[in-house]
Amino acid sequence: MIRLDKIFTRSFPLRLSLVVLGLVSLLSAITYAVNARSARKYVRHESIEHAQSALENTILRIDNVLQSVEVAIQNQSWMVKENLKYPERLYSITEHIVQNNDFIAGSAIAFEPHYYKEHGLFFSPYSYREGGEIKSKQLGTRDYHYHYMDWYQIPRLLNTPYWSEPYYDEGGANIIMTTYSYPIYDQQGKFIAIITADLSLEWFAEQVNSIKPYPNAYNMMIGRGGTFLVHDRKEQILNETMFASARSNDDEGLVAVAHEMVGGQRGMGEFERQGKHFYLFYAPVKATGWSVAVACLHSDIFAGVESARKYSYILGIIGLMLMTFICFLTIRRMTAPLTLIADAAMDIAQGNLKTKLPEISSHDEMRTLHDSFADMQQSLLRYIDELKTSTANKERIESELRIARSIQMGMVPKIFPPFPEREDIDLYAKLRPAREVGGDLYDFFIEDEKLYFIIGDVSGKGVPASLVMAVTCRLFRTIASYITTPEGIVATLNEALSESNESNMFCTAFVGILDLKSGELNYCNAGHNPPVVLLPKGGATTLSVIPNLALGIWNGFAYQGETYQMQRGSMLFMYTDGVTEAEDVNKVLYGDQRLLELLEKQPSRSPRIITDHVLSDIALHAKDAEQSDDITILCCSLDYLPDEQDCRKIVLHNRIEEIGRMATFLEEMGEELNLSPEVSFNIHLALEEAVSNVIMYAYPQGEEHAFALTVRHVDNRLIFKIIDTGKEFDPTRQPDADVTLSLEERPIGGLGIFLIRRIMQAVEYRRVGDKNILTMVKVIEEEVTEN
Amino acid sequence: MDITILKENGATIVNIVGRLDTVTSPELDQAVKPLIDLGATIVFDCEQMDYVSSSGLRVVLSTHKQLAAVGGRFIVRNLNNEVRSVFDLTGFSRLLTIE
Amino acid sequence: MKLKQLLIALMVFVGVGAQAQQIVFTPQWTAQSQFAGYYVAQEMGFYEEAGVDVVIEHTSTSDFALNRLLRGQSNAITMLLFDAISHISQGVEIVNVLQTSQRSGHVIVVRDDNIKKIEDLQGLRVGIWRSNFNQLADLINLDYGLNIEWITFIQSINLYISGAIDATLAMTYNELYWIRSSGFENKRVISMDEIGHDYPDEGLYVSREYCEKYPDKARAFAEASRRGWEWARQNPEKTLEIVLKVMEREHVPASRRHQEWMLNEVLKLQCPQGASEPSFALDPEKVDALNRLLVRYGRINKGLSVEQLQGR
Repeated sequence: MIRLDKIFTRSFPLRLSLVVLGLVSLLSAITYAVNARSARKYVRHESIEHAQSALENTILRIDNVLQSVEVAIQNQSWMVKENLKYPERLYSITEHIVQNNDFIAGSAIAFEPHYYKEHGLFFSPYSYREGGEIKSKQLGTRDYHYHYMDWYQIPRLLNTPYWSEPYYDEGGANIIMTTYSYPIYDQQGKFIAIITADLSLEWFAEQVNSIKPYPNAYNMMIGRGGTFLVHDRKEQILNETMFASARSNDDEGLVAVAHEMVGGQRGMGEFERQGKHFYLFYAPVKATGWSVAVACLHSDIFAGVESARKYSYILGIIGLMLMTFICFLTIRRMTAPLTLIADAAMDIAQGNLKTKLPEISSHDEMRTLHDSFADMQQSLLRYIDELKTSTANKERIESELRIARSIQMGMVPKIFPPFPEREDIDLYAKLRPAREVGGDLYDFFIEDEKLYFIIGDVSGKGVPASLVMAVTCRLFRTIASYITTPEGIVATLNEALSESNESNMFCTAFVGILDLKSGELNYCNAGHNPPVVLLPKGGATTLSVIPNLALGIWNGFAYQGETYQMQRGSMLFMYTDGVTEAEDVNKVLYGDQRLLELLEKQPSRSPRIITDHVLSDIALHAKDAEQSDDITILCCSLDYLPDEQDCRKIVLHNRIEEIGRMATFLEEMGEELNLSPEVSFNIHLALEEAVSNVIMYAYPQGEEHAFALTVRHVDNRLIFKIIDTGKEFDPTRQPDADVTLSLEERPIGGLGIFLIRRIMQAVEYRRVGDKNILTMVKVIEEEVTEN
Repeated sequence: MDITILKENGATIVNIVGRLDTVTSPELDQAVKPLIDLGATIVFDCEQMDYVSSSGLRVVLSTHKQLAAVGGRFIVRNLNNEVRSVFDLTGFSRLLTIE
Repeated sequence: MKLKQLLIALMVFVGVGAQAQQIVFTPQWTAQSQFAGYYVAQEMGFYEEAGVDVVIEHTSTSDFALNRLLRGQSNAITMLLFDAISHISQGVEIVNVLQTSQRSGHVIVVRDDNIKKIEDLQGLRVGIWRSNFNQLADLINLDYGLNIEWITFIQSINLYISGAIDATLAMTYNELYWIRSSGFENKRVISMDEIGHDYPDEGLYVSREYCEKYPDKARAFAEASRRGWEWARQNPEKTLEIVLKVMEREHVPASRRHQEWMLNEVLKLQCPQGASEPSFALDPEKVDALNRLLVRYGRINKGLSVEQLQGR
């Protein structure tokens, strides 16, 4: 069954054929039904006519006979009246009647009791046929009291002629008779006698039984009380009434018909007998009050219709099947191109784009479909070609961009710390383009004890900005090598960029020259956001700048430079607007305020640390948002010259006992600086950890080495530096101990660096050359006057 | 650093005098080892302990773990403020029984 | 030769004697379920067992059973109680040996629907049989002062069907069945009970002569007859078959349904009012009622007691 289902849904010709079949069948069925109904009606009508006419014919014949008898008797009654005085003559009348009428089996003239005194109670001359002869006798005897007989009494009481209800002949030969009685009255109108004619019902039965409009028809005749007079089954005759018979079959319909029949109606009824359906046609025999009926089998009547129906069914079915088959073949042939096109399309879909489509000769919808497919094929081929080209292009561009990026990154200083040998200046910078290449730039170099630096932002992003950035970067180096004022540098840059600026790109910039000996900063701003100065003792402030104008807009603009005296221990934090304009997913900007607040709180004066902190905070803010602009930070710190201010130093050996020496060293320092015992304790703790690390892990076993611990007191900070020449080891890389773990889970180690971080405000590790430099900064309260 | 060991009410009292640092921690460790016994109670009395470093803390932790393994009890008492704050800082206060 | 003659005479004597002991039983009418019990007794051999030689001879349609008895053709007949009282009072020598019917099976079936009660029969034509019941009907006529014109019919209800009469007397087990089967299903039926004349109908009567000569045989005959009726009550299906067989033998056309109906009715009428079992006894109260009616209308001078009816 499942297969059939598939075949059905997969074959269009089949489906369509079946739809056609369905429609045609429906139409046929309706037409047929309508036809059949009218055919049936017609047949019914005709059969009724047929049966009824057969019935009527028979009844007519019966009526004729009855009438002839009536007439004969009525005529003779006159004779009787004439011959009343001669009773013996009456015999000739009865003989005459019997002789002249083949139907009449006997005739009598029965007189009222004692009409003829001499004859007494009974006088009834009677003639009858017997064995071909006509005999006569007296009817009335002691045994046969004719006055009480129906044939005498009823016409007498009713004063009308009367056909009696059939009865069995006294002779006992099982012959059923009926008697016609005609009352005779004397001159005074008094009833005197009945003249009768006896008829055998045999002839009538023959007539009734001859009605055979249909092969299975059978007939019956009933009397005035419904008694069967003629019937298929002999035992019913004169024994059973139609009412009783119908009731015993619970056929109320037939009872009603019986009523109709005895009521002298003609008509038609239906009944069931032994599972067969019959039609009953009935008509009255008016003269006697009997009724004749013929029962026809329903199937006989409609036999013709039935067989015709069978034929038409068979023919119809064959026709429909044939039609469906032809339909199917035709449709299949006509839709063959569809299959071919489908196959070709499948081929194309698999990748054979150049597959040839089948030829269509017709100019109908198939052709249209074919042409559309062909067009689609061509478009596909073209599209794929274009796609190949553009993809190749894209890949080329991407690889070029990658190269461009590395070129760009190569343009800016990348090595940090840039001047490790110098202790008075430290710089750190980070450039993060939004795309592969960006428009931000920075650069710096030291010449003649002066630090030249620039930070800039080309308008836009991507390749265009990066090209201008490249130009600007190179120009800066070149120009700064012979122009020594910031405003001069800026002006020259501006000139260069303004020329040949067909695409109207501009660049904001901040150029500065810091005198490393004096700390004097000369700077010139070109539309760039002003840097933030981090002060030695903490706090930050925005450097006031004259905005001037961004580069590349107005050639010949008069740029103004400015000066600022930087203190030792302070920092200059420069950035591009990518920092303050970093967005989160809701487009909320990072903001100047947030930057300033963060910088104010920084205890460290390490440019790297500060920069990292800011970048972390930006990341915290932006979260999952895409970087919208290039982010650049350039941070430099002006430190104290060596030997300046407070600096203590102790050289330690890599022996565990040296910790005691360090402890003493720290104790002395704590006293001199008036440190609280707690602070002392903590410093001690942190330093012990750091120094232990070096002693235990920096050098190979057995080798004796020395390393230095310096402490510098700057403002409210103590800057501890441990410089050793051991193997590279960054203690800041060790993860903090998880102090929330339970005892069992706690690893033994890791506490050291955790303590150091907790105690010190800043911890920084640097590998410079072959040296590990660990810098720890502790902020201590300002001394409260004297101790 | 000096260590004195006393017995008091069925418990072993270890008095630590001086600095418990990287140098002196191994000494304490050695002294404590034999004291670890089934169901023993050990008390570190730190009244005269000036200073503890991470090495010292390691010994404390190790002592605690060892005692726990044998169903013993470990008590640390009389910590001075600085030492106490270090214990707090490192979460040791929550782990140990401190009196 | 003398011996032969003697033997013949002896045989004749015996035969005659035997014949004299024989009961020739003639029921009131032609063979039908009305007399089922007797047929049963005959066919099932109850008479034989009782040692009684019974021959059942039916009357013709125009003769009376009583006439046959009076003529000596029969010595046992059935008769209506009313007729019996009349006849015995007037000297007919018969004796009641078994009272089968306890209730009247007679009714009046109306043809004209305007007739609602007995009084409406005033001056109208009412069908009546030629035999039995004539007398009683007449007395009822007188009792109600109806002036009925009685129209006699022999056997069929054609008189009723043809409309020549306004009502007819009928037996519930005969004419009523036929009337209802002829399409007159809903005609008003006036029962004897309704008009206060519900008397028992049939009984079994034997000639006094026979009873006095062969009292044992008479008794045996009565008892066997009763047995026949009791068997019939217990075995209606088989009884029906017996009846139909007898009817066929007698060339009486039989409608099975009719005979079934008749048997049922007759058995019903054997039970006194309100009872479900037959009593087979003469109800003295009913006898009294009949006596009073007959005396009132001068049909008899003096009533008869139950004993007198039973020949004691």
